[in-house]
Order: sequence, then structure tokens, then C-alpha cells
Amino acid sequence: MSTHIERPRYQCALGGALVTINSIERAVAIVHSAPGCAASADGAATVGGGYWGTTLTDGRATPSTNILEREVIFGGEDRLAEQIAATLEVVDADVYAVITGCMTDIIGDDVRAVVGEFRKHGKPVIVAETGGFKGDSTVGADFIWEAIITQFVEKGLEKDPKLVNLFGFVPAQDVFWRGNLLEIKRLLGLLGIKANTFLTPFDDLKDLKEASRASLNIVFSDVHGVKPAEVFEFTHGTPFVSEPLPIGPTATEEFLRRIAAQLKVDDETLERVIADEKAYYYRFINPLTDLFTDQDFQRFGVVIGNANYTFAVNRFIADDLGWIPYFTAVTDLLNEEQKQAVAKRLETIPADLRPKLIFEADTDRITERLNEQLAQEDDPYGTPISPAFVIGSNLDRPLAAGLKAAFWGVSYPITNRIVTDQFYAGFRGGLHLVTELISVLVSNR
Amino acid sequence: MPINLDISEAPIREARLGAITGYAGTLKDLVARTRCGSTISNCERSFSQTSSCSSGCAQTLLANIVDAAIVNHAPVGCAGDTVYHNIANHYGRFYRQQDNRNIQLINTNMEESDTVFGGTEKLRAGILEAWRRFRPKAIFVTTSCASGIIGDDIKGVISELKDEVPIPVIPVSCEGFRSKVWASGFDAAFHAVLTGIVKPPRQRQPSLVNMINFRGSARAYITRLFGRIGLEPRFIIPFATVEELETISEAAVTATVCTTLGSYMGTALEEQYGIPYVKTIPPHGFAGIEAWLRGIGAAVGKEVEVEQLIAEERAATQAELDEIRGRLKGTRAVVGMGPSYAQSYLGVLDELGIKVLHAASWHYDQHYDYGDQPPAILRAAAREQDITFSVGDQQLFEITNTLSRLKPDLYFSRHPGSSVWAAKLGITAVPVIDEYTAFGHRGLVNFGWRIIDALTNRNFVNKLAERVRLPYSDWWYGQDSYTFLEQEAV
Repeated sequence: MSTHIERPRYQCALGGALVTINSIERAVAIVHSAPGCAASADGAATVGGGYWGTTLTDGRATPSTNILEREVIFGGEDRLAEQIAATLEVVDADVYAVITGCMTDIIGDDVRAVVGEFRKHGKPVIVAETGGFKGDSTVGADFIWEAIITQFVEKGLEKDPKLVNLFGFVPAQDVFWRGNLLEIKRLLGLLGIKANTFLTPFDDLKDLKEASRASLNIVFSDVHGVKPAEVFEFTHGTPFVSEPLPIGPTATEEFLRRIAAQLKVDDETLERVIADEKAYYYRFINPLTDLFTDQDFQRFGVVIGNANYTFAVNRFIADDLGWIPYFTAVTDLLNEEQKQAVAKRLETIPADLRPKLIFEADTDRITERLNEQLAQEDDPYGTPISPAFVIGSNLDRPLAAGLKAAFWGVSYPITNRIVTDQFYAGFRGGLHLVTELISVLVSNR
Repeated sequence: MPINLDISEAPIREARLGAITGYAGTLKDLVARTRCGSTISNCERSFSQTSSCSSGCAQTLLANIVDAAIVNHAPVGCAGDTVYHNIANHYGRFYRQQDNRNIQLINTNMEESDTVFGGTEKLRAGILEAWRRFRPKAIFVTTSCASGIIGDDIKGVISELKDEVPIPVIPVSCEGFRSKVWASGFDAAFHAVLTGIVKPPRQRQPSLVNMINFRGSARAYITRLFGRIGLEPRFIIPFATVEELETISEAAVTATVCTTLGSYMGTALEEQYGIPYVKTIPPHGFAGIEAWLRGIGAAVGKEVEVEQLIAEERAATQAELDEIRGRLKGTRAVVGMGPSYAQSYLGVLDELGIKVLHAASWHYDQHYDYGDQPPAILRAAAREQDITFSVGDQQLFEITNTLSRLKPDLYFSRHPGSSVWAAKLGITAVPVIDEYTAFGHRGLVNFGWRIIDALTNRNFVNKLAERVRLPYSDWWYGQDSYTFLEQEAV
């Protein structure tokens, strides 16, 4: 049995679906649920996501049926039909996504039949059952992607050998999803590969409609977005690869080499791009060495966050920054198979630099587990990981304070700074992360 | 009807106060038709936008009681909004020179199988863990649509744990599907505090004022103000301790900064323990603070001291207010706020010389728990000129339509998520997020200067509006704002 969680670091399935739709240009959600569901989920994501804020038809402007006890008893299908018809008039969008909350899924409204009537008349309405009790944001994001892939993306288009789709990002759960996607797109562009990102403010809905042209789907996760990629392959015949989010020169070089091999990019282009980007990183890192070595800024790493970030950050601090990853907590709600995939990925880090891995959604229990681990260390001074650096979410500040460790937040929720176009992906993303981590260490000067 | 503290949950506002979330007409019409026992019925919408959840409102109050904990019996997402409750907690603690600590909340993580087989085992484990982990002085168990629909026996679980958890464990009935009026969640929280925490008075504390508020930013100012007339405020309920809440029954008087917030608690304390509840208009602006201070003075027999205080405060600020009025003369505004503030700020903006073209209220209580119509709306309706008035649970498509039609200089809003849409239309938005904005004479003057500052440089919104599109179709801008509001049954 799953257990209770102190201050969850996500929204529900409905919330993950909602913020995914909110990130897609000219898409609008129609929430079929109680009055506060959309506002609460959207508010949590947009505040905890570095104060992301409203884009087009989201926030408190999200269309919602606001059903109450009456509909629990008599059903809410008529109210939904009325709301869809009105939304098609009031809101200027190109795709309308009906998503549901706990109430609707428990009472069993036949939302597919209601939406089917509109689809029959050629209206661009899709539907996913996203009742909050079905899981967290990442589960809901998977649900809505499956709906998009099967109900919206055109079938039978000719493949483009140099076109890829980027998946595995859940807006706000990756607080830096926009910047990361744009940087990966830029890097792939240097190799002559066009990448569809879908979730940035610069995307065109036409690319989503025609996403089946892509020859490859790259899922930047071992767990999130994998199911939709399987559905995509089944529906549109595009294969997929799971790639860890690449942060810093070592991970990014490997990523580019694998993709280049898969999509037959010529060696000369590949080598030139890697050399140029690596030079960018090291020409800034080079002079930073004075401070880094003089001040002995090597740290023990405690990394807390979702499955995608924990591996990516551990790998970067181990491979490029020369720190010592000590302990890492993956805070997603994962099933056994997903946990194995995450653990297996972490095993690619050499044993002497591989942190102790736990799966724990509950903030205080992370502290307890870390303290248990520390108690086992044979250290005469009682400070086996001093000096330490905690890279986590804003909820992990008390843990860092307890360790007398430096702290920097890169995981949801981030509420003590704003996030716009910052990113950690790629060579330059690694440079940004170093810049921020070291800035923390000198911030009291 | 008196407040019943023998039942386990507070009735929702629709049932208790005749609260409505759908109306379009004028201020005078609304007041006339809800006067003296007459009531109007709510109008539903065939298109609506999301509003707010009672559970969020309950938890925003309860999560910041410093030594209590919450067990939220719900799927994970229902605790998603604890992100912003935690922000309020972090800076609230920071300004009170307390260490950085997270709110004490556990979510039971109800899943699909729990909706079939029941979630009481998880609830039991959650309560035990909250007790073990936080050693709180009280635990509030907040409910959700999921736990409510499947009918988990929350009281049963609590009573079984009586020996293992030797502190008050109190159910808070705040399911989002029960009410469209999110303020029902405030009442659920107050009901829990009244039934589970507050103790009968041991002795009267003649100088103690229960001050019902949200974040308490004006603590120092109010403490000084009250100190001058020999009174001492206790700010409830965020950032109070359980022990402080136990003894609110000993206070001399209860006052509130927001009459929507204060109605249930204030009335219950009066009915139950004989503590007078100040039923004046809220303390915003000159008229507001003066009526409110007189109400407090009358309750504690300090009428003379209060008159002296009012005279001093007025003398210190009148000249500045006159200057501000001169500067703001002719400015036109639209207001969109919760009922207490929407009503109160009609007076505030009058005092600043700003003309209100339209006011929208997020709901409307036809009467308060003590039986009377809200005093601030009576005062506003007594003015010579009527204005158009609408009631909607933050239905922004109506507000946006109205704003684009009226093109005011300013949009005054309260509640997050509303001002942004005015800004995107190029209208200077002045959100009143801090409940003590325009509090008292000095607050009004400060607010006036803030408005002048906002009007002095409008570049941000002007340039933004050139670059962003709002979500609505051209068709919608051509319609009446209340196209989707059902007609009243005549």
C-alpha cells in the first residue's frame, strides 16, 4: 500500500494534464470537476514552478464546469456538454482538451460519449480521464499526451528523416522545461536535426498536428513520457529512445554522439559542434578555476528531486564538477518497474562516485533516511560529509540547514527565485549550474 | 438562526447566509431586494471558469497555526496548493524573526484503490504519523471530494485514536464540491477551532481584542494604535498558537479586518461566550476605521478614548489625503474583490476621489451570521448615485468583457489570479492582496500614494498589452458580459 506524504511535490493527474495543455500554444483545457480543482492545480504549478504564471487561457481563466453535490447525484454529462459548446464560442483556440477530476471519475460520467458528439461534428475536442486519485502530475501528463497522440496528431504522414520530437518534460515539474527544450533544440539544430518541442512559448500547434512526421521520438526520461512514446510508436510508427537529461559537457557529448549515430549525422559536423560547444563551456570555466581551487570548493552532494533531475545533476557534479555525490532521493511516485529503470540509470555512474539512492516522496523521511545513513559512517569528527551541498527543492532548505550545508533549488517547488529562460541542459546549461552553485558559496561575501 | 456548535460541520454559506455567486444588476437593486428577510435566488452560468476550493481556504488559515498540524485526507493534488500556503508560512515566519520551517501537513495520498475500498487505514496512519513527527498541540483533519464522495468515516477513525493521540484531533469538513462559495472553507476552519480548541473562559481579559485576519502585516501598527487606548490585539488564526486560540473566549471584544472572514467566528464567540462582535463596516479608509474603532470603543466602554484617538489620527493625515484627492480626481476604476472588500472599497475609493464604474463581488452573503445585511453594502447603496454591480465566483471572462468595454484607468482586485488579466489588457491593476491595505487613516494615505505611483508610469502594461493576446474570441467581446448567466426566475 502506498503511504501518506508530507507536502507533496506535485499536483494530481488532473494538474499534470492541465499544465501540459496550458503550455501548448492555442490549446485550452475544459476541466470537468469541482470549482477549485483547476485553480488549485494551476496555482500550485505556476507558483511552485518559479512563478511561471499564466500564458493564454489558464490560471483562474481556465474553463471549468464547477460541478457540485447535485451533479454527484444526478451526473454531470449535460453540464459538460453545455460547457464545451459555450467554450467553443467564448475561447479562441485550436484544440480543446476535456480533462476530468476525482468527482467525475468516481461518479462515472461518460465523458468520452459527450466529447464524441462534438468530434462527430468536426469540433477539435479531445478527452482524457485524469481523476486526481489516479496519480501525480507525471501520470496526468502521460494521460493527456496519449489523448493528443491518438485523438489529435494526424495519421499517415510521410516521415522526415531529420525530424525528431522531444518528450518526457512535464511543465513545472521540470521548472526549467522551456529553457531546456529550447537549448536541446538549438543543439540538435547545429547537427542539422529539426526538433519539435511543443511546450515552449515559441511552438506552433501545426508541428504537434504533424508530429507523426518525425523519424524518432527522444524521451528525456526513463519513466515519464515513456508510455505515450509507446502509444506513439504503435499509432504512428515512430520509434523512441529514452535519454537522460544531458547536463554539462560529458553527458551532452555522449547524448549528441548517440543521436548523431541514430540519425546518420556526418562526422565532420558532429565533431565541429561538440568541439565548439565544449570550448564555450571551458573558456568560461577555465578562469573560474582560480576561485574554485583556491577556496577548495569541492563538495559532497545531496541531490533531491524527480527521477529526471536526480540522475542528471548527480552525473554532472560527478563527471564534470569533480564533486562527490553522497546521497540522492527520488521524490516521484514510481512503480517497481520505474524504480528499477531509475536505479539502473544511476548505476552508469562509477561505483566510487555513485550516491546512495532512495525513493522517498516524504520530505521529513528524506531527512530521517539521510541521518540514518550518516550515523553508519565511521567518522571521528561526526561530520562525514562536510562540507556538503544540497541541491533539491525549496522544501529541502531545512534539511540543508540541519547539515550546515549550502543549498540551491533546481527541483519543484522553487519559490525563492523566478524562472524564465534559464536552463541546465547541454554544455551551456552545465555552465549555468556551476555558476549558480558557486555563486551560493560566495553569496555571503 | 444561531450558530450550532453541537454539529460536526458548519453549513455552507449558500444554506446559512443565502450566499449567491450569480447576479447582474445594480448595487441599489441588490440591496433593496435582499433587505429585511427578502432574498433573491442564485443565477447559474452555462459557461464558467475555475474558481477556488473550500479546502484551500480552510488550510490557508489552519496551516499557519504555529504548533498545530494538518492531515489532509485527499489525493496528492489536493495538497498541491500547500506550495503557496508554505510561502505565506515562510515569509510570515521571516517577518516574525522565526526560523525557516515548512508547514506541518501530511497528505494521505488517496489512490484509485482507496476510492473503492475506503481510505480510513491511510487516514489512521496519517494521523499517527503527524502526531509522531510533529508532536503538535492539535491536528486538523481536512477532507476532500474523494473522501467525501466515498463516505470515509473520519469521526470514527478519530475516536478510535483517542488514547494513542492525546491531543485534540478535529475534522474539518471542506470538500470542494459542497459549495461554490470558497469562503465556506473559512467557516469550516473556524468551526473546527471553535468546537475542538476553544475552551470556556477561566477569567475575562478586559483588554484583549480578538483580531480576526489573514496574514497580520499591520501587527505593529495595530498594537500601537490599540495600546493608546489600553487594549491589546491577539491576531487569529494564522500565526497564533493553539494555547492562544484556547483562550479567545476570554477576550473583551472581537473585531475583524474582513467581514466575510469574521462573520462565523465573531458571531459564534458572541453567541457562545457573550463577547461582543464589532459589526461595523470594515476598518478601511477614514470612515471605516472611525466606525470600527467606535464599535470597539462602545464594546469595551472606551468611547472617550476612541474619539481622542480618531481626532489625533485624522489630524495627522487629513492634509495629505486632500492632496491625494486632488491628484486622483477624475480617475475611473473597476473593482473586482471578495464581498467584504468589494463593498468596503467603494467607500475607500470615494474617499480617494476615484470614480468606480462597476464593481464585481466574488460572492454575496445576503445576510451575515448575526442576521443583518452586510453594513458596507448598505453604506455604499445609500450614496446618491447607483452603479452596476455583479456577483460571480471570479468569472474572469465577464470581468474581461466589462473591462474592455469600460476601459477604466484602474482595476482594483483582491484574490490572486485576477489583476493579471487587466494588466494584459493594458489597464493599470492595483491588487489588494495585503488585507491591511488602506487600513485606517495612515493606510488610506499610503494606498493613495501607491495608486499615484501606479498611474505615474504605465509603461509596463501599455507595452505588454501591445504584445499579448487574451484568450477570448472576437465574438465574446461583442456580447453582453452576462450572456451565460441564467435569467432570474420572476
